[in-house]
Amino acid sequence: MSLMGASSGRQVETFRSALVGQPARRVDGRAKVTGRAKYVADVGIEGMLYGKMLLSPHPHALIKGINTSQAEELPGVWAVLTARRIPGENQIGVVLPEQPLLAREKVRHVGDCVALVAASSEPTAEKALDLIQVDYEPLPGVYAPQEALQEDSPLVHRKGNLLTHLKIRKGDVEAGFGESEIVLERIYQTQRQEHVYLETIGTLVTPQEDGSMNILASIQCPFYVQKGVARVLGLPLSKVRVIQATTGGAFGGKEDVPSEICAFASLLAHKTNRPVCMILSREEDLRRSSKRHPMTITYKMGATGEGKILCAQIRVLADIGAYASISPVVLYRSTVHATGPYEIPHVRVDTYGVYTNNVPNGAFRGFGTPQVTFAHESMVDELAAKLDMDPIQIRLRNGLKLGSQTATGQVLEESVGYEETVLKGMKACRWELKRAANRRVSPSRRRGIGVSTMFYGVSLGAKGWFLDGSAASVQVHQDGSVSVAIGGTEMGQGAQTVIAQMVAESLGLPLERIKILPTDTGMVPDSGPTVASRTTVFSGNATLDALQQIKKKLKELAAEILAISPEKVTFRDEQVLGGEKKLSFDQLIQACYQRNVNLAADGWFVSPPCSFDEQTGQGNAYYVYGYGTQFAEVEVDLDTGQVQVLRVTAAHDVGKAINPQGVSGQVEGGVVQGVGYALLEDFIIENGKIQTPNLATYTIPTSLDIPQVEVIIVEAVSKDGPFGAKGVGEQPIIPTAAAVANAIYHATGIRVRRLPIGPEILRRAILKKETGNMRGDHR
Amino acid sequence: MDVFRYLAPESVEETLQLLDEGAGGVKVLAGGTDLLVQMKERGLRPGLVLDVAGLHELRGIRMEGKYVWIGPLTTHWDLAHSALIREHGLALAQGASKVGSPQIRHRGTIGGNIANASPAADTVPPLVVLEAEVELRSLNGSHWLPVESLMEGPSRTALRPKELITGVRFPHRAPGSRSQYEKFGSRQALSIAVASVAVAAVQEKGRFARVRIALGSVSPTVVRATRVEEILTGEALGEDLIAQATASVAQQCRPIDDVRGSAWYRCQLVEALLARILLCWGEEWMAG
Repeated sequence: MSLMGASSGRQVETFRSALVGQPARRVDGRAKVTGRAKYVADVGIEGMLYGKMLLSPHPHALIKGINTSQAEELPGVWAVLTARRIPGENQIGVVLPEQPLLAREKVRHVGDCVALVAASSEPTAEKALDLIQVDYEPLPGVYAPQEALQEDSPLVHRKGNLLTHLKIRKGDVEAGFGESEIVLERIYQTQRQEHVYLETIGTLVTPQEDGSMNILASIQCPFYVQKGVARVLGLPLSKVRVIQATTGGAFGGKEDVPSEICAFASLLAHKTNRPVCMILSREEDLRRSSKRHPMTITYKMGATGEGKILCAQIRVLADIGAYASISPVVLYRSTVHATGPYEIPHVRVDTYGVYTNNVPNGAFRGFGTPQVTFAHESMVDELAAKLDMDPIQIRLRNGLKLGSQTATGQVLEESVGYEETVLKGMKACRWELKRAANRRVSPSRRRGIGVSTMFYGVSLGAKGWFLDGSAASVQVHQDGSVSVAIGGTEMGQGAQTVIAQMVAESLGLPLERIKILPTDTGMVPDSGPTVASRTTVFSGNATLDALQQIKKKLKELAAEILAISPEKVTFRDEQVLGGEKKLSFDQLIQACYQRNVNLAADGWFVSPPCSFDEQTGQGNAYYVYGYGTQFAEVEVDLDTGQVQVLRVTAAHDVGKAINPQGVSGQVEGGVVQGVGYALLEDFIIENGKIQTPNLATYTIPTSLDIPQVEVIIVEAVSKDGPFGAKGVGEQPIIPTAAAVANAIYHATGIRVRRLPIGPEILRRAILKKETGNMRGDHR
Repeated sequence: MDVFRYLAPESVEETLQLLDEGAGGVKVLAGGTDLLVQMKERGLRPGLVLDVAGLHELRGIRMEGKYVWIGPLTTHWDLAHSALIREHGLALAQGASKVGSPQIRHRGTIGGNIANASPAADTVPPLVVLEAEVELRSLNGSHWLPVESLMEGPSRTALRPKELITGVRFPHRAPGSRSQYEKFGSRQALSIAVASVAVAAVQEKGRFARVRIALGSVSPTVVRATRVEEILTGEALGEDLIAQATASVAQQCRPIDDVRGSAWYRCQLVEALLARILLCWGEEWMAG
């Protein structure tokens, strides 16, 4: 810092704040808060058409015929398309080829699309939809996974309703239960959750003169869109270019579904040779987008009298919905994480994913982990209560530490911050004091505090390893500014800022000199999806790889100019230093350009190896894990059953926190979404029909419903992460629901094993308990 | 949304004239928080939309003789923040402050809330217990009708197609009287009432008089809980009385099951909300 010389202290602070490990101002923040950021809906092109989907009114029906002639004749209508008019393959399934883009013979859920319209205005397109006649023959449907597994159940797909069965076999569970002094068996149930990103899915597709397509879209995974559109249009990948528009949230909901929407718009653009804009209304988005899988989890756990967990037998039954989406990968994660962050000698897990005629479930922040975490963290709490143990003690006794073996037999050799998150969080929330405090705040109000812990495998793991490479392209311009193209996307999580910080740190430059370009398939090689909390590590390492190449050249030239050896050259505060000597970064860049030194480089990073044996479920499932502990304090109104979450203390081990400010933001957001999952959010589908079609019926927390959140960052660094980072995006939503449920138990003595814990359910339970106690004791 | 005719009349007279000519297919636009949603999402297709937002004489809150007069275009925001309303009809200020979100409270009007006739409307139970009336005016003249008699069913009122709401009023607060509104929604803001309760009463020598109780979201319209009113009248507030009152309030409800809550739960809620109001008053009465 002394190198700043005459600079004032204040400037020094601002400058230093850009570097890794310091809170940085979001590089995309100003444009977003001032309203200058352009989302897809803000981008208009002259002569563009509006695309609309005709969605099935039936959850399961045969299509006997479609008559589009009336719609085609409507003035202003440019195209009406059905499954018969697809130039390429009518297929959009990202994991399995079982999802037609447009339904041809039958519809399998109420979001299935049977026809598309492009018109000169949105109202005209809507009117045209009304004029399309579809002759359906409704079929009996299947709406619950339990029913779907019965032999005489209607089939969603010809191959049968069981999509996948994943297993873990470790040790001998029967022997484990035999040795156990206490065995508990419980059933936990979770609901469908909707992402409710602020901006709905949308795209603007512009056909080019050579027949290629330029796609601007609100998405998470541009490379998925590229592949999906190429497949449907029968185009080579080189003729489909996807650019991510400023994206207003995603949470997994923009992983695979936007490929469908972009393919719809591309079909219409291809047919009309006009730009086509397609932006979903909130109602269309709710109907069409994937949801978090509802699961029924049967949990049996055995332990010694001292609370040492000996065995766990877990059966997970997940509702896939009508199409696979990326369910096999989601359920892989549920399986690997089913035992939670505990070392358990004997484990048996069976996870079943079953087709139904419900809206497909897919990726959602946490990716199959929040459900199983609600189960294992409720279970461990129930075990502690039975054994009269403190919930913290049972967790510390069984929690993962260095050298522990996970349920998949993976030995953890580095970066295990579990215990530290428990201990630091416990201290910050004053656990012992709160646990012992008087829970009665008024005749009808009770307070309580609960804890929940989690672990989370970073990136795609063994099941997605083939997708787990990432690219970056870095260029140092003549004026010493730097532009960086990465394959990971910014969807609001702060990816651009952390990448810019890494570049700034690496080259000793202020953040303002770094520009992260919008993600563009035309500029970066396929970098896999932006999911699984992988961008900081994967785009970050790829960027560092590119920087390494550039810095090698910079060092060589600097060494020559300064007459020292290259390894002595360092970059700091816009200076290039070599022992006692130095020159400015700008001077060095000028020298490079005068000598035709190429200051552009491409970087690449591939995941460390992972493994998973399909028969035994043994292997190094993910290359590293993040850990976290949350403490929730609640107040329960006994008369109405309403729960207010007052405060959540959240301690998360994220490896090195590149931008602590960003980490805090992610944790706060995750907790808020977790509180919604715990208490409020439930996307209800009855007999295939959506009962919560809008945001008046599907309610999420408002700013008045959210707790105070205290964030504690734990940094157990990972050797494979840039600067030791592990990633944070998904972890904070994972433990919240169980922490709230456990706090409700502490407050009321009532154990609710089903999410969401709505006021009516809780009021019923309170009443039942009161009558069970012969008379109400709360008033 | 289809094409429709839009007019913004410049006076009440002109509005009444247009309503008279327009017969059935006319809709009056005030804040638009209900009407525009119905037109955009629920297929409502009026032939003519009359935008009355510019009729400033229909806006405002003032004392008028023995009444507090409220212009029907007065927004929920203004109601919630009016010292006059807080002084004379606290329940109405509380109800208005619980409508939707700040954005909706700035646009939505009391006249619109009444005309929309939702059983879950947040201003209606307070208006009913405050003995409020609405002025209905047409070319043939005007008359005042109690809010309670106006409500005929969900989205159905005694308001005739040619009539316009031109005023809302309720009597000054009598000495010793008070009112309160409690709402239960699934969250703290932007929620439609699962159940709501408004109570107004006078305390005379420690005993209840002129008790009025109205319940929201538990019947096709906002309803009075007359049996509970009788139970309370003439009695002093105490634990037994509260128990007796809450035990009989559910009998006055005809709720439905829907995605927001079951009929059973709505009955639980009106009991809890009524108890909450009475307990709160009890503590204050005891405290003097």
